[in-house]
Order: sequence, then C-alpha cells, then structure tokens
Amino acid sequence: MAMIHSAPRGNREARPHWVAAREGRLAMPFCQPCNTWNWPPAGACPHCGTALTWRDCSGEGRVVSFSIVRRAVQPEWKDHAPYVVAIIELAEGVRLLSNVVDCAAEAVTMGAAVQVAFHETTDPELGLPVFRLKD
Amino acid sequence: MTDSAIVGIAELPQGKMPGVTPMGLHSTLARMALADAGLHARDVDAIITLSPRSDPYLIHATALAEFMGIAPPVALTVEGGGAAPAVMTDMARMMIAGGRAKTVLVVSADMPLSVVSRNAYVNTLADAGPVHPDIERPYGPSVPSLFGICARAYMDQYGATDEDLAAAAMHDRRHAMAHPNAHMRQPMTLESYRATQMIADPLRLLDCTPVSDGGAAVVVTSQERARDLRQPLVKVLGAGFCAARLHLSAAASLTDSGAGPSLRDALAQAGRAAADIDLALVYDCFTIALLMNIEALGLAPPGGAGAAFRAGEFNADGRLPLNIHGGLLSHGYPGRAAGISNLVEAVVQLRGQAGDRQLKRVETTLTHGMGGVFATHGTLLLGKG
Repeated sequence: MAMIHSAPRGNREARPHWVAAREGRLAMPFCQPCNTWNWPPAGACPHCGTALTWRDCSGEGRVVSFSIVRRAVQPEWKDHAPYVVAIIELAEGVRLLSNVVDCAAEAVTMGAAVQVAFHETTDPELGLPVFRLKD
Repeated sequence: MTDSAIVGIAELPQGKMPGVTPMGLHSTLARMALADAGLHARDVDAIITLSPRSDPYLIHATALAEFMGIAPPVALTVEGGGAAPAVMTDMARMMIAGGRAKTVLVVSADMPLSVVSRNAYVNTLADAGPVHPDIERPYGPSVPSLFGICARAYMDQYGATDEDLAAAAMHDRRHAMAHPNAHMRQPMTLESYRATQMIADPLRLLDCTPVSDGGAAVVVTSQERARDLRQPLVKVLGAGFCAARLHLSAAASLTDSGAGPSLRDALAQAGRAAADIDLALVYDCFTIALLMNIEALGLAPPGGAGAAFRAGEFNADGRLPLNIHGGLLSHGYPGRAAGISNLVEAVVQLRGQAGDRQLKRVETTLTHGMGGVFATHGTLLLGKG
C-alpha cells in the first residue's frame, strides 16, 4: 500500500518537479548552454544565469548509497519505519535523494537498478517521485 | 593576523543540568572564563554567541550582555553550524587585529537535554537541521540516515566494517572515562556497541552522539596583553575554512568529508607543517564523521582511520593523540554549541593544566569543526606561547 505523503512545499523552486510527478513524469532542471543538470534546483543556472528548463528523465537509475531509517523522527513517518532513504543516480547522470519502496528494506543493495514510481501527496496537485527495484 | 591569544576558558561537566537556565549557563560560563583570565565583565568590548535552540532571542549576544549587566559595543550572534568555534575565534582575532575590540568574549552553550526534550531536539534537527526543506524532507530522512548513507558508501568503497565504526566510538569512550567533564563514561566494548539498536543502517545508537546540556566560553585578546595576564600564553596561530555546499543532495562525494582545504589554509596562515601538530581534536557528530574527517585532514590514509584507532595511533601515548577529551561522541553534544569543547581541551593541554591527562609534549594543536553533513569546515591551530 503506497503511503500518502505530506505534501512538499509547493511554492518554491522545485514546484515543476512535484507537479510533473503528479502527472507521472520525472522532470529535472537542466541548463542548455552549460549542458548540465541543476539539483537542488536554483531557478537559474548558478554558473551562467540562464533560466533552467525542465526535462523529463527516463526514470531509470541506480542506488548510489542508502540507509534504512529504523527510528523515524518526523511525525508522518513514525508508523512507516523501517524505510529506505537513498541517493539515486539517474541514467541521465543527475543524483537525487528519494525512497526505495515496495520491497523489504534489506532487499536494497549498493548499485541496484531502480525505476521511478510516483506517490500521491496530501496536495492533489503535487506528486512525489520514488523508486522501485527493477526485476 | 598572528597576534591574538586565548586567555580565558570555562567548561562545566556536560550532561543533564537540571535547574539551570540557558541564559544562566551562558552567564556562568562567561564569568568563569573571565575569572580564569583575570579579567572583569566590564573589560569585554565585544561578545560573540550562537543562538541556542533551547533559548532563541532576536539578538542572542545582546540579550546575554543585558543579562550580565554589561554593554559591549559589539554583540554578534553567528550561524556557523559545527564550524562555529573556529568562525567565532577567527572573528575575535580579526576584531582585535583591526582595532575594533580588545577583549572578546565568546560563549557557545545550549541545553537541548533539560530545556527542550531530547526527542523534540532530534525532531527539530530533522526539520531545521541539515535536511533540505524542499527536496529532501518529503522522503523522511533522519539526520543519522544522512550520515548512514555516507557510512554505507565508505564501507563499500574501502571494505570497512562496523569494527571500524566501533573503533572510533570505543576510542572516544575510553578517553571520556578519564575526563571529569565528559557526559558518557560507562565502559564500551565491541560487544556492547553491537548490542545497541540500529538507528539508521549501518549506524547504531553508539555511532551517534548523546544529546547533552553544555558548552563553553573562551576569552580572546591580543598576545601583547595576554603576556600580562595570569594564564600561560596560548596563541591563535592560524585559521582555515572551506564549504562546498550545504545539503547532501548537492555533494560531489559521499566519502570525502572535504575538510582538507581548511587545514591547508590554517597551516599556511600559521607557517606550520602538518607534522608539527601534536594534538588533534576532530569533529565527530557520528563515528563515520570522525573516520572521514580524520582522513580528509590527512591524519590517516583514505579508508585507514579505523585501523589507526585499533593500532592505538590516536591514543594519548600514540603517534598523534586525538579526541582525548572523548569527542562529541562521549564528551558530549551540546546542540548548537557542539565543537567548542575541542577548543577548550586544546587550551587546557597547551597550558599544561590537564592534570593526570596531561600530554608530555604539546606545542601545536589542531581543532576542527564541521557544519551540516560534511558541508562546512573550520580548523584552528593553536600554539604554546
């Protein structure tokens, strides 16, 4: 059963990321002149100042590293431990922090191939990209 | 920039301080440090504090001055994470060198154990600590899990095991047991370490610091004036800082703490070499932080800090005495004030006032502090006068 997450802050630089997730897309901010991803999102490219464009990614990636939270601290997570927090590197080369879901926490391994999935949040306009182990 | 000295210090036993208020603790530490220097509160013309989580004010340093009944012209409250002790001391040096102040009182204290509840403090860290409020918080990372991610990457890269993590925890505990101000003083073995619960794999409870009431105060003045005061001269030789980013999501590496440039710059300013350092106090909010910081500072080879601990290289009688006060892991973790004890221990040892714990030879000390999850670093070099 997918959990309903508390909504992310919907009025900051990452909003297009959450809106795309609600639509089933993994959108990440990209600077065309520099040919680089920009995460965490800063609105404009910190190197050249160009406005960032949001590009859809394939949603495929691998686990760079992870931890299993046994003792949750945020109230909405209290009933969900143990859960996996991981750094995921997308096939496009950009890294982000997310959850690996729908598996036993102990099933996650370093370098494991993952595929994006999307969870609902308490804000009907905003979704949350999470990852599942690929078969 | 080589003209300032630490002339007064104060630290109380870290741990639970029932019946004490945060402002009362700040004031007590301030007066103790001034008395240690042979100075008076009215001599203070600049005061630098951190904003304790347990007791926020609009301008905390000015609130402390008011509480103490003094009115120094300069009162600054800085935000520097665990690198703050180096930031505050360097600000004091610059004010002294620039003629802005003659006697700078630095107070860094917090009471997360008695005033805020331990759980409330840990929750606050997840919300207002190193977790990115937009792109990380929705995924529920605890602070230990962010360090756990680094620990897993470190173990994977170097073939390290929980014995390397435990070696750091046991080293700190063994030395804390001999320190009168240390919070955690029960013996720790590999078995008792492994018997504690997993908090955020691969980090167990004893890979994490305790939460303590505590902190310290330090008085900084010119070396010229210090020679007329009552304590043995302790010079501030150099300071260095570096910061690559704030959040783990922006980290280029999960296994390089990034502390190296802060020591390089401090050594250059001090005109010293790494080989001159004969005592190191390294920031260790988690065991993995201690291992990675030691290696980034060049005090052990990459992946080799755990083995160095096991070989006794960092013991009081080892190659390079390190965290002989017990570190944050066992000396105590006083919330925002974490890291100031590194500075106090260096001064006590340089003065030759450590009693049974006194090292035979201490001429140059390294005190390192870190903010965030390997985000910012501040390193100070102190030397005997």
